[in-house]
Amino acid sequence: MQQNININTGLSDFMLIDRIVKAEKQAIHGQKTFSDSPAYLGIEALAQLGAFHVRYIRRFNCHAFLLKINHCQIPAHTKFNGEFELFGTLESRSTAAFSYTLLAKQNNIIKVKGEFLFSTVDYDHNFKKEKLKNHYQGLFSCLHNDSEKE
Amino acid sequence: MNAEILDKIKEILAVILDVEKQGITAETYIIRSLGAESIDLLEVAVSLNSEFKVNITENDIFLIRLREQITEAEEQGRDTGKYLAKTLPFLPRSRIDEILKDLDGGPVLKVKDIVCYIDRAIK
Repeated sequence: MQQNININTGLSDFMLIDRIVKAEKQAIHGQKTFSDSPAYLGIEALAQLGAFHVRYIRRFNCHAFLLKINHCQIPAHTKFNGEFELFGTLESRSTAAFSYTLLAKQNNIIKVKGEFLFSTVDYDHNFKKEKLKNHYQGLFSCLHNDSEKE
Repeated sequence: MNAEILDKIKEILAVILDVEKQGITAETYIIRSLGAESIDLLEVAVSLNSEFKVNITENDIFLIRLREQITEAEEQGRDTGKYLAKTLPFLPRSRIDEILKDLDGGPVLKVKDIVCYIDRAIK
């Protein structure tokens, strides 16, 4: 019997990157405008940016997910408002694991910074290639093309 | 065995697995004795890449496909030791023989296996 489960995140959507400004072999740069958002969404935005970069360098041929965050600095009791620049640098990697320094800056001041560890798995019956590859490749292209037009 | 490589690997394992470096030797079992889980091994892999600047393939360095490879050798009617010497070329033959006698005890991966992998990758 199929059952639907509704989860209310309190967000209108869960894409926390507005633009991918630049994507290179070792680094990625994105942007996000927050509106009265709790600071932990800054961490989520960085996690999304890092996972996008892992997919990008693996040519969207596998599923990527966040494994662990180390040494993350985040301001206490602060709401995020306005435009943030998001930066990711691939520090080291293996076949299946990718370690990044990811940070969010506003007005050139670092607001969140951490070491993020991602891993990949091959597409299978749980992570369906036909669905996930098209979804993330299309989304990446849309976010990246959008910034190239400006 | 390369003492410098061993020392750096011990440091990495101690930090990631939150254990005393002094308690780790070349003969320590990484999964069986130190309790490393798959997520820990992924973290070890990127730390090794960062420290030694060599490509790390988890399937090889952590002997992840070892039992599959043994089955493959048996199914193909091949000598298991020789087959593993080909699939895991960084391990000395004496270590492969040791592993084959140790399979019933659980995961066989030892610190010295990682040292052998890194030593070969650097060369």
